[in-house]
Amino acid sequence: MLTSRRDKRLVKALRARDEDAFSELVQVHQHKVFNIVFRILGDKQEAEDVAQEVFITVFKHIDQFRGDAKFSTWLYRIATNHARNRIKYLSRRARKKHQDIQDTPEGDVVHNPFGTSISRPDKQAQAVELEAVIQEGLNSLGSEHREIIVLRDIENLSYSEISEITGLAEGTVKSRLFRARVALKQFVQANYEFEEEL
Amino acid sequence: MTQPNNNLEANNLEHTASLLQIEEQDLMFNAYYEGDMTSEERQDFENRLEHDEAFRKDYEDFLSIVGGLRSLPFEFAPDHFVEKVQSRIRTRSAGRFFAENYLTSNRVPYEVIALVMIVVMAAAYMMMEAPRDNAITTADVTLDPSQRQAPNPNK
Repeated sequence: MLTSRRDKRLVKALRARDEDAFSELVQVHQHKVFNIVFRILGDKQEAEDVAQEVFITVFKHIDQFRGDAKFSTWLYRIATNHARNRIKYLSRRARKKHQDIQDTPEGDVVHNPFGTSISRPDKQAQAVELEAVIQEGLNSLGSEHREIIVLRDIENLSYSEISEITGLAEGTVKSRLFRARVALKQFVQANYEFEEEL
Repeated sequence: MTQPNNNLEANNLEHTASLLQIEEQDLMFNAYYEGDMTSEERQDFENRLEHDEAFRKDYEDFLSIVGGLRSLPFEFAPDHFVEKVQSRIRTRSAGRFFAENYLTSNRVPYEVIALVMIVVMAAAYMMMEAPRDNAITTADVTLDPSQRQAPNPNK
């Protein structure tokens, strides 16, 4: 669980407000942070904005990083907190608008551009369709379930790492992951037609 | 009068039982997938997979979804992400957030230029020294003009 030598060096330089160290640190971690935030939020523009805020928070609060955990764990904790807050903000702001869209008959078309009635020409198209439904399913989960399923099933982090990032007990992480998978499975089964094996 | 209520309760119980069954089935999928089963439980699970078609189909769906999550394409940060973050920091801190690096900074403050100029000029003045003409003498104005000695040009 130790911070890598490179991260240690960068963190030390960052405490001295070294701009070059900051650039290097962002370059090293930008894609991972962006991917996590994007998968939690499901929107690229929001993800870019939130990912930028993550690194600004890192720079502002670098003195609070004690080095007890891996730097990446601390970074992902900031990323998931920011993403969670953005979800709350967006859901508050768009609750009514979202409700209006769902109430309209066209709503399903907007949410599922690959409606199951459309014929699927090949395996690749099916994979794209499944991917879209899964992302949509992720977006339908509560933020506490979404972030755990992203960290575990997309980022492939261990339970102990997720526990450190979220501040939850490992047992809670496991039960939330289980509930998230069940909810996602129900959503996907309702919105995607798995092909019967012949 | 109690018949409908009994039916309702029976329906509720059935619904709860089916929910529990579904939950238990998903729990088993999860436990098997995570390797959280004893060898005996695993054996039972695999037997059921082999003989129960609906069960197998549901587990395959589960695997497709978890596998689908794992194979979601990695999304890279957009171009110029680092520059955008730096720009945002500079804007918010009015340029005071990063430590000033005088060696790499493109802009030299005008105060520094002025100071350097003053030092250079002072040094030049001291090195050249002001020219002195030893032939020039001055008269003592406190004495009576008749008592003043006329300058001796031969001296």
